[in-house]
Amino acid sequence: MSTTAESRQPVMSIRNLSVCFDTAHGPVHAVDDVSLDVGPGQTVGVVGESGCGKTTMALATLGLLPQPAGRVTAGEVLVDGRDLLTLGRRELCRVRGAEVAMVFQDPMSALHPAQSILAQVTEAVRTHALDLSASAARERAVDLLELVGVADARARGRAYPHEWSGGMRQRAMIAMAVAHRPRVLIADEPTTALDVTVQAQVLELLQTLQDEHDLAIVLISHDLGVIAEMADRVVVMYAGQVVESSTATDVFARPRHPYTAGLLASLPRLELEGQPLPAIPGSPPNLVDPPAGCAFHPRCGLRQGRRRCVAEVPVLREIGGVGQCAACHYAEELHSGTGATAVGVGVRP
Amino acid sequence: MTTTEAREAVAAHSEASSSEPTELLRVEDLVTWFSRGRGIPPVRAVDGVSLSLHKGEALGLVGESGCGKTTLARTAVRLIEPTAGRIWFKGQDITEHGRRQLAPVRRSLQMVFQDPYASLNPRMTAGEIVAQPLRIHHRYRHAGGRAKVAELFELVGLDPDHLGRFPHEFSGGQRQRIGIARALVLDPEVIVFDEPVSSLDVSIRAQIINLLADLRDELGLAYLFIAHDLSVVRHIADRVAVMYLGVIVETGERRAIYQQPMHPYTQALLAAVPIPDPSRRDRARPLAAGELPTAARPPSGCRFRTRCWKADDRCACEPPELMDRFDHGHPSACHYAAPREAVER
Amino acid sequence: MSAPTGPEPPSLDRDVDASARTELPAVGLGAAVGTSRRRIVRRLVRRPAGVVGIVLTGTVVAVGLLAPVLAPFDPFAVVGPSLSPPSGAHPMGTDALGRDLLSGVIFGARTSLVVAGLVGVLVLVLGVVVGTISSYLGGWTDDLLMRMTELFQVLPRFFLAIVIVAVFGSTLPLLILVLGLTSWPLLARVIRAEVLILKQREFVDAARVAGASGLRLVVREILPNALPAVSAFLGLVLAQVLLIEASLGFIGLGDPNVVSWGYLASQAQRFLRVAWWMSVFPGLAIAATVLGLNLVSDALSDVLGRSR
Repeated sequence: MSTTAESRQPVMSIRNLSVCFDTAHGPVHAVDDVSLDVGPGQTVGVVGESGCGKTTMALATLGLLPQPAGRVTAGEVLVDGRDLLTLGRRELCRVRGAEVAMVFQDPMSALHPAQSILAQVTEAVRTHALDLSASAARERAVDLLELVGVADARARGRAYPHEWSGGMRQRAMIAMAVAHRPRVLIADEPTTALDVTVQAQVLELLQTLQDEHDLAIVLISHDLGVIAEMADRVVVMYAGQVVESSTATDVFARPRHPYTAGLLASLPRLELEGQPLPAIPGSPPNLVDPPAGCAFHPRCGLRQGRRRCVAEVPVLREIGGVGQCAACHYAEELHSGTGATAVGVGVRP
Repeated sequence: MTTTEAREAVAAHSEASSSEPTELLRVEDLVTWFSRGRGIPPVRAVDGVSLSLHKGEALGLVGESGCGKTTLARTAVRLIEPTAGRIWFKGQDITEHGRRQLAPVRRSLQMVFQDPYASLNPRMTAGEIVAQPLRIHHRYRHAGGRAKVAELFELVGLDPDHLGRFPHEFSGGQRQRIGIARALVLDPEVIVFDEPVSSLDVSIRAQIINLLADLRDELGLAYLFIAHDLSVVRHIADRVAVMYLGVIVETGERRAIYQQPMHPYTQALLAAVPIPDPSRRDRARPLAAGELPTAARPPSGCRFRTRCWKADDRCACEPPELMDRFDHGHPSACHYAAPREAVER
Repeated sequence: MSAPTGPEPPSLDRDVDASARTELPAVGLGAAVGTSRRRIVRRLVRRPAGVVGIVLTGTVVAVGLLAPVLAPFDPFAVVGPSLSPPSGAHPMGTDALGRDLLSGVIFGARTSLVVAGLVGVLVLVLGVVVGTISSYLGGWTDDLLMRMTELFQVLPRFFLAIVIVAVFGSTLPLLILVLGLTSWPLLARVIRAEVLILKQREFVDAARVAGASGLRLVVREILPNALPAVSAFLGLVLAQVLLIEASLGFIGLGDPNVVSWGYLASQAQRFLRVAWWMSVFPGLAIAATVLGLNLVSDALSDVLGRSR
């Protein structure tokens, strides 16, 4: 599906988005010049560790940043040529849910604890279809719940969120998100709170919905496995910036940024049984006071003491092939002799 | 501890082990139920589990949330009182030991917790936290006091100059190192790990896994390692037990479990793990239906039958026993157990 | 970002106050950071209400401690003309007997300090003991102690105090005892709630696995983490206690041998129209102290609530 999808016009384009938080210790640039496109039927995976800005980016897209601390300092989010960031409250509300919908990590905190699930899905149906009668909306809600795999939804929908399991709750959230056939679904760690067997079910559900409705999905996750299973394109974020952006096949087969390469190399796997994992040293930087130059330089195996990494912020540039980008001064060295061993790339087949 | 060999279906390679001195920790038919008041069925978190852990061995205990693995671990270290069954430590029945009797056991049996934010007292410095077990056992001076704590800091990769800092001044990975140092300070023989890396960032996870492997090599420790992440267990454990709804459904050597899983649940669990390789996306895999039933009313017969693609009438009435069905030291609890080549990772 | 708890904040090399991170939930940096005493104070003084509260309460404490130094006269000595309005010699005027009101107010602060301090100690001891034992042991002990707490809670404190003072005579120690013995239930409940939560935290389990005794768990692990929240409530309790004490003084049931703001205010009753200063200054002192305690309590519970 990826080749056809990519040649089509993107449904949503995030262009040079920057987000800043005002804190007691000065401004924090949580998202710094991030761009990504997602086309119909395409899944873009955004991967990164805690604090890398991936969730902030998603919230900013829909104008959901915590106020007043967070603000968008630059960039645009284009859907159908309209910039969501310039829309007023009213217009933005019309876009949310109807054109761009979002699914969060924790369905329990996103659901009203004292309202039945069916009532909440019905409510979501009516938000953008006010002319719908109560009973028609309810019918639609039942259909939606059955669409996301809730059998016997009419009866079970009467239950309250705490009576449903985590996986079922996430299904209900997805049902609400797709109630108005949005063109883009932003899913922020949708399966992180779920068990692996249930995670597999929910991912499959997302896949099915996408195939049926040509849905564009932005899938945010820390789990490289989940991204590999789902994404057509992958955007890797580190310290608020995009460090690599390519097709999924390329990112996993030939990572072009030492951070991506390091992450992949550090995953426990068969070939490494009984050997130490090639771990990335150190921990992610504090964004209050980020490292100079390349944010990854203190942990990078490729740097080898070179000054340029400290002096100059690397820009995202094309390496290897069309549409394969990385932000590293020395990305070319990654798949040649010394560079590869420095970050443990060679271990991966 | 002589009457129990017959029940040793679990400890695959330990037929005569109960008399051998190498066995450190063993639980037998352990049952832990949580009562929820009169008239409400209790939560049967652990419902008849037998396991044993030998010197220098790492036993991985995997299962999904709610399967009872954490309760099992907490019961084994006597944090929770068992409802029935026995716990043995180095040949000694410690099921009914009081706090004073437990003291020597506690010195050799330590635990590392899941949440590096909740498991350290926010009002103690890192040094005090690590020294605390020594003080409890009145060994602080004897063990070398501050020098001993500093030594442990170095052992787990922390800067001894940071002894005086409070937990909130450390990052998640460093906090987990403090938790590990605390577990090591009494020179234990067994450490129980309750999901020690699952709340850490991906890039930090590998560091801690390496640290655990190094410590085991250096100190000859035995690990009971609990996790829901099969790839982490695969990297650390020699032997693996798979738990589902309070019981063990399959156990065996790591290689056997990962390459030839017998129980449908193990197969589904392994197949559900996402693989970081897009070219393997379309592999055929069995998918467990639905979700974990409540542990207060487990299904009759085989507990996995409500989610299993092999289930039939027999599974509904006859609980399958955990036994070695193919005679290769790899017991499973399924009437229709059959090896299935697992998807290699 | 691996799990709900998530954050992997900065490396140790840069010692950055973690509170910066708590304001950034969306970046995934917000965390259940610990609360060292220093940080609590630092955050307390960042909010205006906290500063005002600390200044008011601090002033009363300082004045009370330094009363003999600060007061120009003996509060019981007749030092000037009676009922003279505020002037240079007597900034708050004098009472009907010609006693200096400023000195009275200053020594009154000392009385308030003694009452608040001793009642505070009593309340703290009883509250901590009952609350901790009740929640830590649970079961029938908990039931028994909580019913007892409720019994004390429903006693009308003010009327009980009146009755006891009327029967046994009015002395300051008796008053302190009565107020102390009737003011602890709220605190016991707060402590019980805190301990119930804290005793399930993993660090308490960690100490238990290390072999710690119940006493050690309570003293070293649980109570230090419960006390900040408790101190917020203690402030509120003490504010109420001071009001009751002043009220008793005002209706003439205070200890006549001790200068207190309530006593001063009661002296003013007969001269409300001719000597406004006699009621206004003690009244202001009471209001300021109670306000101060309330503000500190509020700010404290805000700060603590946010950081947990």
